[in-house]
Amino acid sequence: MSDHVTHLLDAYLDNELRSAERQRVAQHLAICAACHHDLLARQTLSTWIRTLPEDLPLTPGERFTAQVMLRLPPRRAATAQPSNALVWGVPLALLIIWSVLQVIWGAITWLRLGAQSGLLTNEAPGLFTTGTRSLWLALLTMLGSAAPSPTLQAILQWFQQADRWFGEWLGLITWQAQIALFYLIWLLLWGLHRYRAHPSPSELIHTMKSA
Amino acid sequence: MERVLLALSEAELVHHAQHGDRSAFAELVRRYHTNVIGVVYRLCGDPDLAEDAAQEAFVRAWLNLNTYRPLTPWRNWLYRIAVNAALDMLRRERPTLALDDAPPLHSDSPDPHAALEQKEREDLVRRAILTLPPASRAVLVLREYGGLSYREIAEALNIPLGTVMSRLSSARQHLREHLAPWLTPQEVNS
Repeated sequence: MSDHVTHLLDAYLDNELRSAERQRVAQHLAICAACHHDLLARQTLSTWIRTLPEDLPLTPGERFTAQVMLRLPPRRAATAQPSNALVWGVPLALLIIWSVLQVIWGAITWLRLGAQSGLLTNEAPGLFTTGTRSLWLALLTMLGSAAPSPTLQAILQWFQQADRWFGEWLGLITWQAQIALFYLIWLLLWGLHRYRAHPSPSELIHTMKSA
Repeated sequence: MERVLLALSEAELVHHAQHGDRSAFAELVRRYHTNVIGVVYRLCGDPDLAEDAAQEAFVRAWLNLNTYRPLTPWRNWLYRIAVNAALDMLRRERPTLALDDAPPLHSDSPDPHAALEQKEREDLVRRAILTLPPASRAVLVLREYGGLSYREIAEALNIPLGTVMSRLSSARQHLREHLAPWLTPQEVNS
């Protein structure tokens, strides 16, 4: 039997293996007397350590507590700091700053557009957008100019308006998607940092074995 | 007041203690001092040193309560402080092993020969544990006696998970070699 699982026995005994690996070790133990005996020796040793008598000549609990309390220096009460505040605090702060800037910028833009296009007249300010950058819009304009039918003209104009609105909203959605993407990247980096600090025992065993 | 404290959960006591409530902290000491002394005793092998280290651990815990995060089990956080306090004391005092002064170990076995054999084996196990380097001993004690997972030990001792596993593996290997005559097939299978 060349495929012994000796290197996994401690983690198996400590219940630190993933279920698939645990099953593989269990299957091997069922057919390998050497590994099975090795496991029994480890179990026995573990039992011996855990069952060492605890008959310490302990100071009675109340006296021990009193001794500790006498040694305690005064400590200024302070509130516990929030845990992992960086994970959500930094992105949230950036989001709030961004939202405030957006609101200010939006208000300025609407005021400017209103002033330029006669906000107080019958025209709706939202229809006066500068979204002429779309290829789709250019195509619609071209087709609309060429189309002779008034019905088709109306439909195409409706599409044109829709495209302008869509262009506006697309810009907004793109911004939000970018924010979401940055937040995901932030979370991934955070998770990676934590994972590197504490990979799982099974993965470490494999890393150590392959090294 | 004491009756109220007894009814509080561990998390509530910690919360009160974090806000400066000394009586809540005293209740935490009452609840955990046996476990802390047990872990520290297995680490240093000296009952007096163990009590000193445990007291020191509780004082450090009080001073650093504001750094405690409820995400970590209170017991693990306390063990971390206790083990570090014990390792500091071992570094400072380098005590001789007090095994000869250890209290007599009683056995319920009616067979005097078996009782003697068990006592002899327990002494050997204690001695073998105390021959381990303190860093490996701390990992072994937290695993076997404290019942912490590898990840919890890594967090408690502030060391990488790989280091926990290698120290635990080498400690157990060392013990198996020291206790090889006792780990006979009959012992193992019994």
